[in-house]
Amino acid sequence: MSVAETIDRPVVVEYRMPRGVNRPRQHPERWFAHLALLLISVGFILPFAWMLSTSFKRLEDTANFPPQWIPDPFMAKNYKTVLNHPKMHFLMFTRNTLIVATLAVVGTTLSSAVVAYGFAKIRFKGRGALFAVMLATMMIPFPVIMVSMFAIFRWLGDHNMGQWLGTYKPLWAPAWFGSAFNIFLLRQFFLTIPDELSEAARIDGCSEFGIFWRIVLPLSRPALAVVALFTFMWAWNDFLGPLVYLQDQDQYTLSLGLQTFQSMHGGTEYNLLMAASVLVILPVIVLFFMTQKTFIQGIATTGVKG
Amino acid sequence: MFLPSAMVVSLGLAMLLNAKIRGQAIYRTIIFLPSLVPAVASAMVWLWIYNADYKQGLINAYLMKLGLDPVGFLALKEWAMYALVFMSLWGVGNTVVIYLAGLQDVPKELYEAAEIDGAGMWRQTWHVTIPMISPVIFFNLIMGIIGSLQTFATPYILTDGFGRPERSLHFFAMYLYDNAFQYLKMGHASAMSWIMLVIILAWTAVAFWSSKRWVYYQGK
Repeated sequence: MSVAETIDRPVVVEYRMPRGVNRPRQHPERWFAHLALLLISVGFILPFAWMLSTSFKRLEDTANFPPQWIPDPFMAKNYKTVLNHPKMHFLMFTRNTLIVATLAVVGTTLSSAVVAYGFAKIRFKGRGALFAVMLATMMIPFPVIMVSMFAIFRWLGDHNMGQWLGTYKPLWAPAWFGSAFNIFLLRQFFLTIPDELSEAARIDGCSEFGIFWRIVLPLSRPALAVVALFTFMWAWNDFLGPLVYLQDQDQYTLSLGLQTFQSMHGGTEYNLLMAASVLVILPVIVLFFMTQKTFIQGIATTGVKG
Repeated sequence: MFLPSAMVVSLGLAMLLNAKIRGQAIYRTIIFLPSLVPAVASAMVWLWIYNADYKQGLINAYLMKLGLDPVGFLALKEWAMYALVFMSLWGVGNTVVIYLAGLQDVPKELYEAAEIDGAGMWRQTWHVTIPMISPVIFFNLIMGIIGSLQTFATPYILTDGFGRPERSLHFFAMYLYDNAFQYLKMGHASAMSWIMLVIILAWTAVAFWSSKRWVYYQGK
């Protein structure tokens, strides 16, 4: 709340007086909001709590009736079991996910920035139309292009352009060709950077690329951070992509690995399954708390997350 | 069905979260957190919570304690869709944040003016808040349409890819995936992709067309 708002407040209350309704009236509503939020928050936390609780239980305790919230005995060992599980190569899946995520983050950020720079700072014929076409691609969800993408990658493989299917390439290579949301976001940000800066640099003999690399990019760190963050989250959470393109279990990402683990066991060892889920969620939550501000601003301005 | 309930729930939540009360930052964080959870992990948690065995499933255990019979939430086609919608509502945090940003942009003077005119809380909501954030509602509607039509990961994982019970959780994107990669009918799947795109475009067009009647842009 800003200072101005705090000062404004009492005035509002005074305006109310003539209606014969004064201060106390505010309170019931406020209490209602408090109570509602408290209940809802508890509801939102329960699944997390239940997951954590289960992850520390012995298998036989998961079926205790009535439900037991505090595990006894407390099995921190479950996590060790999961990490070394013969059927859930947790560390390998994590490494695979990180490889894909890192390449996707670097690719998307760089390529989207280049394209966004073009749309924001360089005048050329048909720019508006091209921009509209690019924005329209945001409407096309992955399932729509999944079949044709798959066909393209197979075609590339059949025509001696390297093996694509069954590798990580289809998962990160498209990221190197920019993505509409990120281009849009970066363009909006680039537009706020005054053209005078570019002009000054140009007069000093700076090339177009130099302006982009040494002036616009460093000034755009907040926006670039949002792009990198969202891309990382997206890559970490993606399920359909790896499901379509990966064939060998050794290549599975965490999402896919977790699902395979669950379906192979027919959902019996819930304590281990929950421990694995906690491990998948934890990095995302930690990352969120570390970057909270960037994150919320990013969603509020672009309306997307990964 | 998810879309309308999500629109209402997230707008309601955003309004609650916009109220000036203590601990607001904590509530906001709590409600946002679940939307970060990867679809796979969230499916795991809910599979476990919905488990049909009263000794295992959390909800059924409490139903049993209340003297009710356990329900196979994910096994009965009457229940499966409700179960899916309910668990999806856990992840509305993203939409809530967008609404919240919209709500905070509504000028305070408008509420003050409405109050002087004697408008109560409900009339303020209906005549001031809703029109002022209608562009945000519209944006969320479009994103929601695109998002729901491509529902895939959660039902796929909940049902091991089969869309059980009796196909009640079999979504368009899943059927598309099955055709392409299980039955290898690529042509069929490509045709379905086009249909999906057309459906999305049609819904979006309807939304755009109707928006002229209910979306209010400031300064126009």
